[in-house]
Amino acid sequence: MTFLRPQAALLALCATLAAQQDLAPLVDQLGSTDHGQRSQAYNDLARKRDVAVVPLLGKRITTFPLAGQQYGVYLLQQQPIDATRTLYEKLTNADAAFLRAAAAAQLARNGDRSKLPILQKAITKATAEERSYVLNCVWSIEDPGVASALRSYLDAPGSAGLVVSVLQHLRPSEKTRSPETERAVLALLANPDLAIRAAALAWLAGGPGDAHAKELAKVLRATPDRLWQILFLFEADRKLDPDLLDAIGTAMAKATAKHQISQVTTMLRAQNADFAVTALRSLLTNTNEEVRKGALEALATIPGGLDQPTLVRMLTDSAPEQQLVAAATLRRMDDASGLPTVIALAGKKGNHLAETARVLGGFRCEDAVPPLLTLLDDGDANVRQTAWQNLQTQWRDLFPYRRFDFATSGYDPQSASRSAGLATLRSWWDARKTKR
Amino acid sequence: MRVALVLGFLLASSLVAQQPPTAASVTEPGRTLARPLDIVLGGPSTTPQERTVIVVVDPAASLVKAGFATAFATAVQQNQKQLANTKLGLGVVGQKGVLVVPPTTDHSTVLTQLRSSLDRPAAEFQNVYADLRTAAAAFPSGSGDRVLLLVTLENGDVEDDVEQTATLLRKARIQVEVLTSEATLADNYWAARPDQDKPRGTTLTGPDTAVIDLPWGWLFQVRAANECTPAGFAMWGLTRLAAATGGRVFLHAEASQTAHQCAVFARCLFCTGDHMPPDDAWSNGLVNQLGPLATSRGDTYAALGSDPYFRAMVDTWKAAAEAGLVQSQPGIRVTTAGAAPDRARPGRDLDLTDTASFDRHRKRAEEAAQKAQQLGDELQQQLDRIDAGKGIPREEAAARYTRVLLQLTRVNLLTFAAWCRDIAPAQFAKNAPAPLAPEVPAVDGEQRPAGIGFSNFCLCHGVRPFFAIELPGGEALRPELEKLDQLYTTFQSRYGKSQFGYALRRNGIAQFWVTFPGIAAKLPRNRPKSENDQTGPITPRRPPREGGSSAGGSSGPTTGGGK
Repeated sequence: MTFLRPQAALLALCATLAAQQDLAPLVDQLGSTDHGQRSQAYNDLARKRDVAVVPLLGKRITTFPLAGQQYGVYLLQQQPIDATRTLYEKLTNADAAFLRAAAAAQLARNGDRSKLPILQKAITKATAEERSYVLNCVWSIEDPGVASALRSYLDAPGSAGLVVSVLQHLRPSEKTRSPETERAVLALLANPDLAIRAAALAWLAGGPGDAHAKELAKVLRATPDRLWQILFLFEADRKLDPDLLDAIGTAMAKATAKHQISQVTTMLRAQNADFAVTALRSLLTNTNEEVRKGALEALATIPGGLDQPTLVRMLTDSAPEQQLVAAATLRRMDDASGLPTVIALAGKKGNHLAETARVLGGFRCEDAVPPLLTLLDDGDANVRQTAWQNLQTQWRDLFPYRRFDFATSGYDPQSASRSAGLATLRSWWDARKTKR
Repeated sequence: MRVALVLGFLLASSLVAQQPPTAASVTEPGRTLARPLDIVLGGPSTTPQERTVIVVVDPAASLVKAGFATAFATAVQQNQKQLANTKLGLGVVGQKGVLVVPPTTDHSTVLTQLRSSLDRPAAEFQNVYADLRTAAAAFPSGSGDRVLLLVTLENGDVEDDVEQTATLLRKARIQVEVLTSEATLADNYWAARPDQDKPRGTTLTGPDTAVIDLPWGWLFQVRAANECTPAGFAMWGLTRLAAATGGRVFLHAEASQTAHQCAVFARCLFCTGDHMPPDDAWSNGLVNQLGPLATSRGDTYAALGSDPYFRAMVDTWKAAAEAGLVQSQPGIRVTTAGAAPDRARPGRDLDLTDTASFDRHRKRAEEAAQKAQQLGDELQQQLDRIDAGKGIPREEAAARYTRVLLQLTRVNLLTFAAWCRDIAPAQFAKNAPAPLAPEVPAVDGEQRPAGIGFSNFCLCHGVRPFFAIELPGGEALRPELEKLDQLYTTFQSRYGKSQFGYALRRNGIAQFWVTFPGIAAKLPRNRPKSENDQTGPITPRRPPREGGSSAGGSSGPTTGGGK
């Protein structure tokens, strides 16, 4: 067998070279000044996750612009440390402080704490442009020296985003507030940039009567949009001044996306669950549909946030989207009284049908099956796909002693010819009671 | 009028005095590190008082992860004024002589030593009780309060003469404050594993009670609810130390909590993890009412022996074990004079799953189901005869839980019998018609069965939703499910917002399948903890602990909260 070894090695080498030939142009594009091209190349390489990218990056990464270097670092982080360690060692001597920091950080995360001084120095030497990139590569490193180096960024911050990033990074490593960070943040209160001052105030904000909290409340009332940037600087275990909570609740009404409501709710619940419920209920009549829906969904996650009478009322008194949230929430509370409403909605045209299929799929009872079967033939592929996924889960739960292979039905939600598959499914459903 | 008031007061006092103290009387609310440290170090007064506080730390990894050293340093800093005349000492469980810093007013030495001790977390079983007895001798003579703060998240279940320890500490006028993790309701984990190695002279226990007062090992339940139901209280040994010395118990759990989980060892048919059960928020009043006794083990036996609910429950438990409905016998026997410890024996094995003899299994299951009904009816009659308010509330809950579990076991046995009759043989029948698509045969090819396996569908959503599920037995099973639903609903309407309601939801309706020769895997152990404010219990996973004897090599669970 030994005579085969050189041949196997040769084959492996050929395979590697072939892979490198495919990857080389993409790696080159990471160095492009065109953002779109660079980003596309990164996505392609990230999808491939090919270890052959490592030597190619080793040759080129130092020549890339900063954004390209960052993509290169992300791609290296996808690979096993054994395949990248040598390159990281080399990069700890690179000219660019960002590359030195990224390499030292990755080696430190993999147990080589002797690289922490290099990381610390690179953080300090990073240019103003490099700083935000550096902050993206020092995650999960908790070291007093590194924390001290990062804290130095607060002395002359370029932007509020940088301040928020630094403070967020320092929080886990410091556990409780360190006097050094507190001094640096207090100094930021004199910064002419209101966004930086708002970030500092959020970090400092404290309990009842706290002057920083009161000042921040004023800022948020005047410019509610600032809330989204500073939201994660509030500490969950520090009770905030009620005036500030009120300002945050008011600012929440200016949200533009559902996830913002969810984020603020998490924070408000930690502070005062009753207040969170009150604030969210006031949003149920907000003019923005996203806000209304976000508030409803957030309330549904809070025990007692939506009481059963309110939800039952919503089944008849609201728009289809809200009726569906109400029915789904009631079902989660072991109350199936919303099912007739959902079944009725399944028979009405509109853009609520995919959600209707999802909500129907949550009910484990025979009545929910026929409308789902109907939705399998809806004109919208998204509706059909949702109905198909939910029907499978539902049948497996309704008939736990039967084994299904849904591919044998011949139904495909993406196919134009679905009638045969649908007929098979309907036949099984109609015959189910006679078969056992 | 005044005489009547005084008499009324005396009568009320005497009635209160008759109620033995429970863990609720010594267990403080909350699950943080900051509050207990602030309360214990800050002391009872805002002005500095002469005190000696020895902190005995069990340096487990979970304590390090919780940031105990930092929290302790913060508490010392915040209570600097009150600690002006306080001597602080430090003991480390497992260290020779325990004490590493004798009581001193130089608090910084304690902080430094604490950090260094926690740099080397221990993973072995530790005898904290023996170390407490040693630490008691370290208190200097003289005036001033003597407080011993025991911090142990993982070793309260390694019992070593709890009562002697409590007596010694009480005589030395030492108040024991305990910071520990939450126990499991009537935990049977070690009772089910009697061969576990342990430190010399110790007994592995772990429930919140002095004796396991809830049947465990019910037939066709994958894992006992006793092993994954948060008790709301600490392990009995630690609660007892605090109760006997005028101290308190503080429970700790990590702040990061997981969402509601319908089942630990079961599958939920009715949701995909988005369940919001109406009973999710516990009632503190109810949890406290159902708290375990904090008396000595001897006094606990005496109290339980005279409790009508406990007596009825233990008699039923024993009979159920003899009938093979429960895999455990009670570790206590009731006599006309009271109750006494008994050697825990396994229950009868009905041998229903080791072979694929479906017809024989069906007959045995039907007989056992009949017995379950008989025992359930008899227990119900006994419970109905007990006057309201006559008995320990916890034991009443345990007895009523037993009643529901007997019906659940009956339902599972009838399901099993129907499966053995209708479904399992058909899976191997020759010339069986092929099912209509998309259904496919349950068994592939020419495999032959070797035995029977089972899992559970959780009861978190109640029994009623199962009416819509196709189960073996079909319509014939329906009346039994309805009866179970009625018992379940009645029980949950009373106990749903408590540890007992939670325990009932941790049981399940069984699903059966044939097994084939293959590889069996060992299930991991899960341990529970409830949230800080007991708004809802959760069940996180916990790592195993190593060691256990000089021979080493054993493994087992940690106890209480924290991942």
